[in-house]
Amino acid sequence: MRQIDKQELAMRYAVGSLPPEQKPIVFSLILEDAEIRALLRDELEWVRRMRSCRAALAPVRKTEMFAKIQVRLMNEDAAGRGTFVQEANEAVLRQFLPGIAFTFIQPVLSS
Amino acid sequence: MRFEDIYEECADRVYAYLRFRVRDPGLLEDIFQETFLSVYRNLDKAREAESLRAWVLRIAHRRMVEHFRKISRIKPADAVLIEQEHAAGSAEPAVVDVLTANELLSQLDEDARTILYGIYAEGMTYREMSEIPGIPEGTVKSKCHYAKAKLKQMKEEA
Repeated sequence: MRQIDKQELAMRYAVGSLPPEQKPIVFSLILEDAEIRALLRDELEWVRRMRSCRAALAPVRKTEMFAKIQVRLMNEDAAGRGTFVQEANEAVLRQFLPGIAFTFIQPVLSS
Repeated sequence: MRFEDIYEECADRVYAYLRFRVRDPGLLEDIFQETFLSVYRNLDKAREAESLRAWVLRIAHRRMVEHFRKISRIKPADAVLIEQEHAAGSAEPAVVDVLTANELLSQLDEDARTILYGIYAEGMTYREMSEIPGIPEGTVKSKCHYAKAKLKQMKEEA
């Protein structure tokens, strides 16, 4: 097995993305091969270091952020409905009002 | 999949990813919210996504890049902010580790930093990582190896 393949296996094993069928291969390599043991130590060190950079989102903050997103979604929905109602009103008035009357009422609708 | 479920599953990941890349807490919150607003607007695409976490992180990445273009003040999360967040529940050696890791990572380009973070902190595959900044899988692999070799060399020299 090439060194690059061993490194790949060690990395996947360390981060937990190794498919179950490949785990026995790594286990036997760990027992037999000093090189893969060294690679695995390196990879586990990478995982430890990089996970130390990972910031945690506190549950309270997670809920609070979700509430803010919901408010924004509701506001967007309301704004969307508002536009729809205005467009519908205009269409109805355009249909039934004489053209001259619509010219006067249009600025009021748009305001 | 319901929006609430996606949020529940991916919010921590998105937050951690943005925190890793964005210094300003207010900006981070804006991008976080906009990410999930986009998720909501594109729920139909979530069902087609091969990997949900990669799909959501790609959206977060795009929103972040858009902000970067708009205001050009995004920098990697500096050690001080991370230190503040970790300080409450962590022993001193962990903080030192974070500082060291950040100092080392700051020597890499943005893509390489993102790739190392995604693979080692989030446990993502090369394929998933390739979707986030939108670069080929082979490039992700080579950038990852190159970045590790560079950091190892820097550590040895230091």
